[in-house]
Amino acid sequence: MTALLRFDAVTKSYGRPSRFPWRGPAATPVLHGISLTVARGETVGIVGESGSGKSTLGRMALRLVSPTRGRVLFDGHDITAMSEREFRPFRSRVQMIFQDPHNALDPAISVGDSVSEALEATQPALSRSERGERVAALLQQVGLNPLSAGRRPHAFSGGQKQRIGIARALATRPELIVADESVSALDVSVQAHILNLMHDLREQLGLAYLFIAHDLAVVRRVSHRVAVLYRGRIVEAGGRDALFDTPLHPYTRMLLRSVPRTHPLSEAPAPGAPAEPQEPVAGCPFYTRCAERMDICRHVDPPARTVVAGHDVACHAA
Amino acid sequence: MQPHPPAGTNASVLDVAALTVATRDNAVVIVNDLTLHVRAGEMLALLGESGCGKSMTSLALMRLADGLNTSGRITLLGRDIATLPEKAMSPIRGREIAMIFQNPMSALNPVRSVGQQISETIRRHKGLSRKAARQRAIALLGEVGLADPVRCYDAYAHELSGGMCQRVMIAMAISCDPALLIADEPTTALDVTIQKQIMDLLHALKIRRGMGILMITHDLGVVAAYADRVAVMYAGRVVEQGDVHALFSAPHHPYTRGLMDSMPDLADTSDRFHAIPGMVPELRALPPGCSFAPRCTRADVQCTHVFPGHTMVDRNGFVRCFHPLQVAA
Repeated sequence: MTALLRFDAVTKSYGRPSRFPWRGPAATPVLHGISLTVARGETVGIVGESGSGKSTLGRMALRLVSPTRGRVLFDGHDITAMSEREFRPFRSRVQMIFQDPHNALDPAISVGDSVSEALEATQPALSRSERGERVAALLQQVGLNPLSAGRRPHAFSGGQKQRIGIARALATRPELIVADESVSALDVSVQAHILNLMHDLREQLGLAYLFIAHDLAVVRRVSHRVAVLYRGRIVEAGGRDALFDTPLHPYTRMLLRSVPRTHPLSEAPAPGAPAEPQEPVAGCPFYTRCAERMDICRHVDPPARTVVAGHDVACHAA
Repeated sequence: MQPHPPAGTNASVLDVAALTVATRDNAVVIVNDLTLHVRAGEMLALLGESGCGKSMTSLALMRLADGLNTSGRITLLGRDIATLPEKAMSPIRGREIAMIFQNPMSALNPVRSVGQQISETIRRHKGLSRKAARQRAIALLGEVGLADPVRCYDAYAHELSGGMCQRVMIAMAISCDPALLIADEPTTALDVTIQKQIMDLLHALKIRRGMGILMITHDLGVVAAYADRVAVMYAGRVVEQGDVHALFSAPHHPYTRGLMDSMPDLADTSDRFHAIPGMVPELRALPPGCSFAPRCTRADVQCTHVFPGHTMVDRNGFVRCFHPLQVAA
């Protein structure tokens, strides 16, 4: 079966290409040779620190960013090569939920109009009353009172605004939702409500998620598969239990050790992570912070290889 | 300057009694009857969700809650600072209480080098010469774990990463040996690996310098790993307080329990997350009686009429609940 979303050896660099090719590329790539698939109804978690390129990857799925090299395929169609007109039918099939629900909504219009806008854009055939009904149904679906459609965003709490953001994303009947740090700005008790809602919607509507987050405990709970990004590369990818129970890459292990304990009596944290990253070397991007580095790592960038079926790692030591 | 109480003793650096912060017309009470203390060499976490009043508490303690009605006692190193005039308060800020914030990038001046900003603080409070202040600033940058303190001294905020900026803020905060450091969500904006480094640094400074730390946070993980004691705030009030070990092993307040259950745990792989029903009430429209009652499965008629008083659960802990989860023996 065709994957719903496929990144095929995607590389993205910003900045002008150098006029002197022999001097090498002008900028280091933000994403480097990323290959990843998301199946229908599947949640793929992307974890990584700020600057790892995880948001760029998410934006690429919506064609908000185009790759410098490589292809992005949606349902088997190369969306990178399409014209704007050809892409239009695909636009409604992928939607995004943002990190900051406050900034993602227009403060000047009612939340009902915000959701309605998305309907107008993608389903112009609907009559005004049909749109109104759809808006009410969508608000209901995300756990809000449809009667509050006339209120503006400031009247809602952070968690409610995020629900509105989800209703807006659902308006176009998407098959894939890119959730970029969608719960990280929310309080822990509110976060639980939103994650439960996202889970229920996946089961009801068969949605797939590209779930971008830095909170490993959340990613573990919601994802089927997880990819760990470091400086624009997937250093490890696998089923969530394989990846969290038997992490192979030193960086994944370091991330897992950094997760704060949830109980003061649980296992003491391992010695601190090495200090701030320094200038990268020609070889492995993690070289400067790695506790298990070897001589080869300085010079040769480790290629990704499959260790057991479905569990890939890019590390000489693993 | 008063000497700090030695570390490890029970001497309080900060004693807050019945602190209340309300709007001018007293229509909205933001912090309600808050009592807490921080000992030397101890980290007290003030834990709560957005809007519970924890940041307002820190501002009131610094006497920065302008335009609000503040009452209660704030005793810093044995001296009540709640009613000091601004002129007397100004030298206390920075020298006896220092503060670090959530977003270190925006707390630094973008057009002056970070070293100059630290030197300025030292010169202002300690009256050192330009050269001596520079030396001291460089030593501090080294103490907070920056790899190349001399080069960092001349760097601007935009040239440093978020974690490095937070280290600079910490260096500035400890530059005058404050007895109390208020840290308002210092790691919320940082990546987990950096968060751990910063928390390890604060922990080390607490022990090395015998400094009291008031840690304002919403992150239970940070509290569990680093705090000595914790006060849980809900809708403007501290509803439970105690030693971290005791509180995490056996929370007494249903809200504390709910928070702990909502926190995702790496070891838990079930599909659904535990969620506390309902939402945090708005401060301007608090329910009568216990603010948590409408969301609480244990609430009865009494809870909807009277806010429960303090019940001691052990030597260091109390809970404000009529039906606590484990009744103290």
